Parts: sequence; C-alpha cells; structure tokens
Amino acid sequence: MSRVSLAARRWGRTVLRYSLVSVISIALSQTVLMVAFGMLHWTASLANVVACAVATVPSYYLNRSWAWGRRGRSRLWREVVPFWAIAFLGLGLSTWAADAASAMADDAGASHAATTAIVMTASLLAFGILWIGKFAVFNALLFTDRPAPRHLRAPLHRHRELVGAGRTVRVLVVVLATVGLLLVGTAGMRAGATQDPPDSTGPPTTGEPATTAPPTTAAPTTAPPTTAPPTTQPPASDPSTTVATTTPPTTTVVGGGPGPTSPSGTAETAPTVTSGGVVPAAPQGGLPGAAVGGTATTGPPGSTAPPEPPGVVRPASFPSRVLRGLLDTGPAGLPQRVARLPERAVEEATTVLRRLSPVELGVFLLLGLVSLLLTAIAGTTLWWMLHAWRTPQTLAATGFSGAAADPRLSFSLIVPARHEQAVLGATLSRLAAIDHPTFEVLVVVGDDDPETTAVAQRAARRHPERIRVVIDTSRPKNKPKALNAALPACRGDVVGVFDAEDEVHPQLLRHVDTRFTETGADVVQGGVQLMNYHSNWYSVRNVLEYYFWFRSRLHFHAAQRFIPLGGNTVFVRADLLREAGGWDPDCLAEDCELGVRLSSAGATVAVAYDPELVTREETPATLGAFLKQRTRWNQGFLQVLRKGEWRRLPTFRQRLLARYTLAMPFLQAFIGLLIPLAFATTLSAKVPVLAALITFVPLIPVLAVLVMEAVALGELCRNYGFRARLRDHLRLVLGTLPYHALLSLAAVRAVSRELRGNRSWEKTAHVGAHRTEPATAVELDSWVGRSDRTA
Amino acid sequence: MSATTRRHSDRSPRHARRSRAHTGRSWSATAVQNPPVALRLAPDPAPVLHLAPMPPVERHRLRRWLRAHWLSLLIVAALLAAVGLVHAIGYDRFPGRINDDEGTYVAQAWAVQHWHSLAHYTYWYDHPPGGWITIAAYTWLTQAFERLPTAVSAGREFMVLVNLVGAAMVYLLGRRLGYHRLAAAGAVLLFGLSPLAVPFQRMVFLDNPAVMWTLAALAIAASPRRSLAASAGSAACFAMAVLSKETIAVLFPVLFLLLWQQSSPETRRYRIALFLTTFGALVFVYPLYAILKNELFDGPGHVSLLWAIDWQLFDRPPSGSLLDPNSETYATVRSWLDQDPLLLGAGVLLAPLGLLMRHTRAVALALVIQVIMLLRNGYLPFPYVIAMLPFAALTVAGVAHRLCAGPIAKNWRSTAAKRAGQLVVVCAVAASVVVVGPTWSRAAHRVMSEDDSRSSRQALAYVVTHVPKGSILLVDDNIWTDLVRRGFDPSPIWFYKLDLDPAVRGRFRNGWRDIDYVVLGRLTPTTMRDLPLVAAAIEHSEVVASFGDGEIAVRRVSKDAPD
Repeated sequence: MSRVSLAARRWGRTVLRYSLVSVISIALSQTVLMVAFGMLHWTASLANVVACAVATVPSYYLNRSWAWGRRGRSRLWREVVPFWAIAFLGLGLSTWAADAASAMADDAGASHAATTAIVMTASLLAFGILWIGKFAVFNALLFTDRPAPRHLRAPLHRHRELVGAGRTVRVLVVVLATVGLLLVGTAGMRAGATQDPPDSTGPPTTGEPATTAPPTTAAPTTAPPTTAPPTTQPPASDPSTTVATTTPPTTTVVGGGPGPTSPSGTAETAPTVTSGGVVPAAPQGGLPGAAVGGTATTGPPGSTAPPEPPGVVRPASFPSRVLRGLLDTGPAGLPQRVARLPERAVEEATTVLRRLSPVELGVFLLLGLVSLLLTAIAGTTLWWMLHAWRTPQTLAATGFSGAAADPRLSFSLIVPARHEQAVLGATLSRLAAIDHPTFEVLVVVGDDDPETTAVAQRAARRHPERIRVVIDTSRPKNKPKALNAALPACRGDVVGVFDAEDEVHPQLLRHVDTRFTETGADVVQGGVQLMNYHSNWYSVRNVLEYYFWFRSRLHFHAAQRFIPLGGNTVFVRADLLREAGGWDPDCLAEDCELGVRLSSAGATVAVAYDPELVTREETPATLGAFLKQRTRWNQGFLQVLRKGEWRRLPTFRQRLLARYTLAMPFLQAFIGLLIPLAFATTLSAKVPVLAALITFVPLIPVLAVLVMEAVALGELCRNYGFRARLRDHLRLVLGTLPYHALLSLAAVRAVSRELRGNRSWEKTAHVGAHRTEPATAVELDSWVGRSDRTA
Repeated sequence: MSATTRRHSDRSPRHARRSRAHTGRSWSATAVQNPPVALRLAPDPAPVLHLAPMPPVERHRLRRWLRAHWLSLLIVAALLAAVGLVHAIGYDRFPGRINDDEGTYVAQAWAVQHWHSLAHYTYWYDHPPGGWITIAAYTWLTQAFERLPTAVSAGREFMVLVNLVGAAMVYLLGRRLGYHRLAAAGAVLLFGLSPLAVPFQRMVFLDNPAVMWTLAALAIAASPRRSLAASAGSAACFAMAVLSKETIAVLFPVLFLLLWQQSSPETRRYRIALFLTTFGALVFVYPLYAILKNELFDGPGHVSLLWAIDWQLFDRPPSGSLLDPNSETYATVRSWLDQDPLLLGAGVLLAPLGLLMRHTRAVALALVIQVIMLLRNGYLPFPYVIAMLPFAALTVAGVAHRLCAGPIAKNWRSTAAKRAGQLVVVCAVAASVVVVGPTWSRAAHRVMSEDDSRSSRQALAYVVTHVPKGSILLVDDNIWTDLVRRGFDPSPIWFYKLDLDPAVRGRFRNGWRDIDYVVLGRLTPTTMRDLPLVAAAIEHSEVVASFGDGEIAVRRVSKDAPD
C-alpha cells in the first residue's frame, strides 16, 4: 500500500468521523433548542447559546479522541480554548441567522410552531457553512502533533503551557471561559435585541396588587399571639443623628436595579444593560410573556381570588392553589434573572464608582491592592507555618517512625569547620559516639586555620576508625567548597552534613536509616533546633522561626516537591549527589541551592522531625552576627532565584511556589514595613470607614501568626523542659516589629551586595551558648529527660 | 510527567547490594589529603539522575466521596423535600403580619441594597447588621423585591432557604456526633415540621440565620478530620452568627466544648488558639466599625454602641419570672407548649440525661444554657424559642439513639439492655405519633393553607390606590418598604421614629398635624403611652378603611380638629 493512499485513507476516515460527530452534535443542539425555545419559551438567542454550549462538550471530546485519535491530556491554549472559540463563532453566526429568521417569521405572522421550525433551519444552515472551515482549522492547527519535549529545549524558554496544570485548574478555566463567553454572547444578543419595538406579549405596566378588593371583613385571624411586641423597639431617648443619614436619597433612579418609581412586577426587568441608568419605557423585546414569572399574569395569591366564605376550604382547590403559589413566586424566570446578574453588578459598581472623586477612588484602589497583597502574604505564611498541625494524621506523619534494628546504609558525615576551635572538639566527640555500625566523620579544615586543624587531628587520633581530616586548599574559602573537597573522600551510601557547633543525638542515624529505607527517598532532612531562647531580645523569635521551619514548613515543601534544604542534619544519597555535581561553590546558600536543584530535577525528599532527635544549635551571639547571617541567606536565596534551576519544575503551581519561597525574604521585608503602616491607617481618621475596614483585614492573619507563635513557645517549653517567663513572652510580642525591621535591613543589604557582585562569605562565630558544660571531650550523658537546663 | 528521564528499575535492591558489601569492613585510618577537585555543575540540559519513584497521586476524590455517602445524600434530599414543602407552601400567608420586626429587618435590607446604608433610618446598634446584610445579598441575587408581592415576602423566602440549610446542618451535626441515620433524620423532622417551629422559622427574625450559622459552626467543629481548617471555619461561621444576632453568643461555651471534645491532644492547643483568634478578630470588626465612626462611647449628638448594649441588657422591662403564673414569661412559655408539647417538652426533660452522655453533651448544654437564661427574670424576646428548637431536637434524637444503641461496654447484660432501650424508644415514638400526630398534621395543613396576611395586603392595596402619592403617612414597617417602592415620596414615617428620633421629629414641626394618614394595627396601651405624638394622631383621625376585623386600619387625620 503506497504512502499516499494510506494518508488519504486516514484522512478520509477522519472526515467521515468528523461528519458523524457533527451530526450527533447537531442533533443534540437542535433537541436542546427545541426544548428551550419551544417548551420553556426562552428567547431564541438564549436558547441557541445554551444549545451550542451543551453540544460543544461531546463534540470536542469525540472530535479529539475519535476523529483525530489524540490521547492524553488536552492542551488548554492549543486545543480547548480555540475549539470553544470557534464553536461560539459559529454560534454567533447562527444566532444572528436565527434572530433574523425569527424576525422574518414574525413579520410574516407565522405560528409559534412554524417559527420554531424556521429558527431551527436557519441555525442549521449557518452551522453548515462553517462546517468545512472548521474541519480545515482542526486538521491543520488544533489536533496536530506536540512540539519538542521540554528537556530538549533550553531551560529559560519563556513559553509556558498550562499542560501540567492540575485538573481542577483546567476544568475551572474551561468553565469560566464558557460562562464568560455565554454571558458575553447573551449581552451582545440583548444589546442587539433592545432595538426591537416593544413586544405585544410584554408584561403589563400596571402595578400590583392590581385589584381593589372591597374593604370587607375577611376570614377571622386565628394566630395564637396576635400582636407580639417587636423586639427592636427603639429606645425612648434616641439621641439625634446627623441629618444626612436619616433622609433617604431622593427617589430618582440611581441606575442598576429598578427605580422605586416604577411598579413592581416584571416591568422592572426592562432596564437595558448598555444605557446604564435610565429607565426606558420599552420592556425587553422578544420576551415571551409567560417566561418571566407569573406575577404579572396571575397576581398575588389572595388578591385576585374571588372572596371565599370564611373557614371553608374546598378540597379540590388546595392542590391547584399550592401549585399556583409555587409557580407564582417560585423560580420561574430565575435563570434569566441570574444570567443578568453580572451585568447588573457591573452597572451598580460603575454607578457607585462614578460617585466617588478620583482621589477617593485612588485611595480605595491603593488600599485595596495593598491589603490584598499583605493578606495574601500573611495568610500563606500562617497557613504554611501551621502545616504540620493540620490534622492529627499530618502531625504523626512528620515524625520518625522508629530506629532501625539492623541498619542497612552506611553514612559519611561531613563537618566543615573554620575557626571553630572552641566548639569543634565536643561536637566531634559526640559524633564519634553515635550509635550506628557503619559511619564515618570527615572533618574539613582550611589549610590556613592551624588551631582548628589541631583540634580536628586530636579528635581523629582519639577515634581513628571514625574520624578523618580533609584539608581544603581552595581560595577563597567557603562552605560549599569545603563540602565539595570532602565529597570524593566519602565512602558511605549516604552523605550527611553537620555544622561544627551541632549537638547531635546518638540515635539520629538509626532513625534516618529507617527513613531512607522505608520511603525510598533520595534525601532525608532532619530537624534542627536553636536552644538559647533567653540569650537576647531577638533569640526568642529566632528560636521560634527555626521551630516552625523544621517542624512544619519544610514538610509542606516536601509535600509540594519543591524544598530548599537546610545546611545541617541533611542526608543525601552519595551517588545522587555525585551525579548532580555536588554543591555550587559560588552560592552563599548552598543548602537551599542543592535542595532546589535536586527537587527541581524530581528528587523525593523526606523530612522528619522529632523533638528528642533534633540537632541542637545556637542563635548568633551578637546582633551584627545575626545580621550577617541573614544577609548571607538572603543573598543566597537571591542567587538561587536568579540561577533559574527551579524553572525545571514540572507544574506551574510549583514554579509559582518556587518564586514565592525564594523571594520570601524580600516580601517579608516589604510586609514588615507595611503592616505598621496599615495599622496606623486603620486608626487614622482621614480615610473613609470602608477603606479603614479594608486595611484591617491583613491584621487578622498577622495577629493569628503572633498567637500561634506564643502557643508554640508553650509547646517548646513543654518539649524541652524550658520555663518561659513573662520576659520571654514580652520579647516575643514587642520584638516583632524590630525583628522584622532587622530582616528588612538584611534583605536590603543582601540586594546591595548582590548588585555590587560581592559574594564573600561572612562567617558566623559560635560560642557554644547552647551548651551547658565547657567544650572539652566529655562523656555522653543520658540525653533524654534533662530538665535542669537553666542556661 | 517530568521531562527528566527516570529509571525506576533498581531502587532498593541497589541499596541492599551496596550495604551487604559494606558490613564487616573497617575503615582505613589514614587521613586523606585530596586535591580539591573543582566540581563544576552539570551543564544544561539537566543531568540524568537516578531518582526514587514518585508516590501515587490521589485522584477521583469526589467520586469516592459520593460513593461513600450516597445513602445519606438520598435521605437528606428526601428530608429537605418534606421540610421544604411544608415551609415553602404558603410561607407568605401564615403567620400573618403579627410582628413589626419582620418589616424592620426587610426595610433595613432594602436600605442596604438600594441606598447602601445600614438602615432605613439611623443605625443605632440595636443588632449587628450581619443578618439583614445577608438578606440584602439574597434579595439582590434573586431580585426578590421585584418578584414578590410584598417586601416581607422576600424576607420570608430567604427564611425558607435558611431553614433548609439549617435542617441539612442538623442532619450533618447529628451524623457527626455519632447518631444513626434514623436518629439524625428524626432530629431533622422534629426541627423542621414541628408546629411550634414552622411559624417562628417562617418569620423574618434574625434568630433564624443566627441559628443556621451556629449549627454550621457546630457541624464544622465536629468534623471527623479534626483539622485546623475546621476550627477556623467553625469560628468564622459562629462569628457570622454573632454578627447576625449578638445574643447567640451565649452558646459560645457549647462550641468551645465541642471543639475541645473533638480535638486530639497534640493539635488541640493550635486548634483552640486559631479558633479564638479567628472568632475574636472577625467579631471585632463590629466594634471597630463603631470606633471608626466615633460611635463607641456614649456622647452627645450621636448614637453609641456601648449605650445600645447597656440598653439591651439592663434597661428593657423584664417580662417576669417563669415561676409566676401571671407573668408574661409564663404566658409565652405556656403558649409554646400549647403549640407543640413534644419538641420542647421532651427536649427539656431529656436534657439532663443528655448532659451525662458524651455525644449529646454539647447540644444538651446548649438547651440547658438557654433554659437558664429563660429563668433569669429578664426581658424575654418574642422569637427566643427559635434558638432552642434545633438543640431540643438533637437532644431527643441523641438520647433515643443512645438508648437504641445500647451500653458501650459489651457484656452479657448489654444485649438485654439494648433490647430494653430499643423497646422504650419504639414505644415512645409510637406513643408520640399517636398522641401528637393529628395535631401535627392539622397544624401542617393550617400553615400551608391559611391566609392570615390578607388584611395587610388589602390595606396596602387600598393605600396604593386611594391615598394620593404626596401624602405624609404614618405606617408600621411591614408595609413601609412596599409603599416606598411604589413611589410614596416623601417616604412614609415608621411610627416609632416620629416620637423617638429627633431628626425625624425635626422635619415635622407641627407634630401630629403634619400627618395625613395613619395606617397601623392595634397598638398596646404601653406603646401608646410611650409615643404621644402617634397617640395624638390616632386620636384626631377617623377610620377610612379597616381590614381583617379591625386588625389593620387606614385612618385620615383631621387636621383642623382642636388639640
């Protein structure tokens, strides 16, 4: 079989199937049209729009999967949206044709059945004309093959597809697009239709209640309490009020809904969409009278019914009265009213906005935008902060599941140390005492640091089978270069990183081993906890920050499969680390960078936290040290953001999360300065009440964050046997603003350093404030249950 | 899914292979001096990494949920259909316009929708505006004022919807408290169909949306997932309830208790903290509004929130003690029990038993708190009973369920106890069906067929056709909105405001002589005493038309009569 005829056969099959699908969708749409126009008496245009929408859904799926044989997910912008757009284009054409046909049939004085037939024919004709054009477009543009796979394209490609977007997002977009197109179509149709002369079947303009029942005595009232005292009786000495609020505005129509001058009933559906405020005399053209509620034609129950003899209820009339009652005020006409809602909302909004001066409008917009931004930032901070406590199951899943009885992995623990002679010895002793059969400790010291080297070599002599010393000869020195220097010497399955001042729990490696084997993860991140909450005014907030980060926020990131790792108590599979190329030697936040790089490539990260097994650290001793540490972290985040490895993340949501997380230090600086401004604005008297209420909204999540921090302080105290005094709580509450000011300063400093290209590593000095005994080689006490920590 | 290549082939066996090779080997002791290898990052495109397989993604959650809950959904649909029919048929006609508050709330809702102000006169902080703002939202969405014959009808239509939601919440709460489906259905039927419940629930009182929000808050707090979001959602719903009617805040301990019961110890402190913070912050918006308008504290020239709270709590005349047979409280409670002895009576009697059982403790506590407030000797508002009804229904159903389910400990006596309990419940149900069944069906027929609001509608029709549009009318709020919508300009005066609102009084310097027509029902002597201008206007007028055997009368004021 030659290639030409094979292609031709395939093409012929597509044509045949396309035709069949067209027949099906035409049948469906005509049925719906008949029901809507013929039976429910909707307008021709509305019925046509609904019929088209209903028929497009199966048409899309049948065309795509049956006629063109495409499988897999639909592409939103290449397939779904153009298909619907073309469908509604066809609808527009056929609607115009249907309207023209309907007008012609009315002019000719045809009966309703004949009009229905003519309308159906006109719609059919219009669709037929487009049929060929649509086939061509579908064949050539829509259901063709995909472009090149992502990993072969350059990573900084600007084109973003919503291919990977979650199913919910896609469905939502399709639904919104449909609704939007429907409404636009309807509005357009009605705009065209209001030019028509008033229909004779329009609702009557007399107000209702229309009849004048003679004021005779009707049935006696029998309700148990006849006149109950009202509960909102105003007080006797009501103070006077400003006159403006008691005089209602004059009854001229202010646009939007019907004015009070027009009678109730269906006449008030008449105001047009486009003219924005004037009550026209003509009711809406083309309205079949019975479609818009029965209020006009049947009147309210009771006022038009013939007066009945009191007390007698005729059995036969009850069901009919019930039915009439349901139809009178029931949902008749509701679809049309609801369909008009967005237009009414827009009308009313424009009228209200027009009444404001430009300055007021500007104030409202600015405040509204800022409030929205602040609420979003504070709200996401609050929610992700509390991720671990979402449900009891989530909390249980954040912990380690147990120590391995027979550990299966071997660990290489890298401890980079620079000018850490005060604390290194004790750390190495503790590390050597870890309870695990196969691990080694590689201490990385610089060749220009003789004191630390001496401490390290003494420790290596004491524990020759566990500790080795690696000399880092790179220039200039930083932590990632030190880690990379030790990586070739690692002999274990898993590479772990610890800092020189860490206090590591001896059971930690067994638990990490279990975590690796039970989840099959590529990376395990353990918990780190700062212990010296009492040292200075910012240490409480620093301790809580770490607590929320390792207890909760990291688990959220792991679940989202995008995680900036910590630089400490982190374990990576050695072969994966080598494949990925180790740490980035130029990045100031090498831990975050590694995490971003690995999770963007799709690695599975397991985070586990246990209050007993955390690695204990200390806050920076001085304010300057703290500032330098934060500047380094912020600059590192900025570097990672600019590097763009996170663009490899598969879904749009993950990339958004990546951008947001990496920019968070700067956003926090932003809100740190704006929250007090919002607070001041709320209380100042110059802004209108509504604007002040708007600025109050972001304060709610901020307050919630503060309360949660206080609660967490209580929990920390319970876990570690601390005793938080009033002084600590005051530092927590009152230190919020200064702490955020500090973070803002660090953010600004980071930006300026990055812009200047200054990437030098400002190291944090450690003094061992988290330890209670001097930093010498010590025996390891029992770790659990030490409640006499008073430092 | 991800573009980087992945091979899942040899995950854990690889680990095992490596580690098996390691055991038994000792590490070398020499310090390694490595030349630092300048490790470059892998160039683009991404390196091929051998990664762990991804965990499975949860799909089709909705389908699974539907499959698990289809029976309950069916039952709820049937229940709501029954309750909906009884509530919806004739909702505007019975009860009649017996309480002016209905008109006030829909007038305020109308003012919110059309005038963008909190009330049709000055808002004086009598109740938080949440209730009528939700009514306004509903009427705007469905164009209720335009569709329906009177404004109060629009409010009542909304009440039908509110009560349907409330009934669904009763079922949900019952199920989440552990009741059997039959027991929860029984609670819904008691709540929705009782002759005591239907008239009060149809009327436009703020208690109805407040109770609905409270039931929603309780149902969310009882969520089986025990999540933080549930506590925040529950707090938000209860804040809406308090912002609809502030007196519902007495049920705060109930919600707190339920949340406490339904939390597990590890997450409890965070749930409670989030609950309190959300509730406090949302409710604070109301006093914040007063602060921003400088109307928090009492002072000359403006209304004040604290003054209104003070007035509500202390200055209203007490209705007498429940134990005094001549007091108003006694008469009101007697009338409730006359309308339906089953729901309220059984609920209150079983409440102590409910307090002892863990599952019904919260709802029984709600009932007990309200009974205690009733005994307080304070002012008893007319719609007070509305907030007691769902909890009475749930208590009765809960106790019945527990009796049928038998004791928790399973031993040789438990089957006998269970059978005895089931017998008791069956007999009780049969007895109540026999005793109150005819009353209920008569009452149901009555609420669906009687037309008690005819006189109000007739009066409205008369005024619209016979009274010239420029006249000054003194009306009650039940027809105020309808007259304003039909073009009476200047708008009619709500009769309370003539004496009590200085701004209104300032517009009518000649007192009662400025009034042309008075359209009012029968006023009590105390009211006439409190409102001298209104009394004078009525005294100097003659009846032009009267409807409903004098229930509502249109009077024309004769201005030239001597004072």
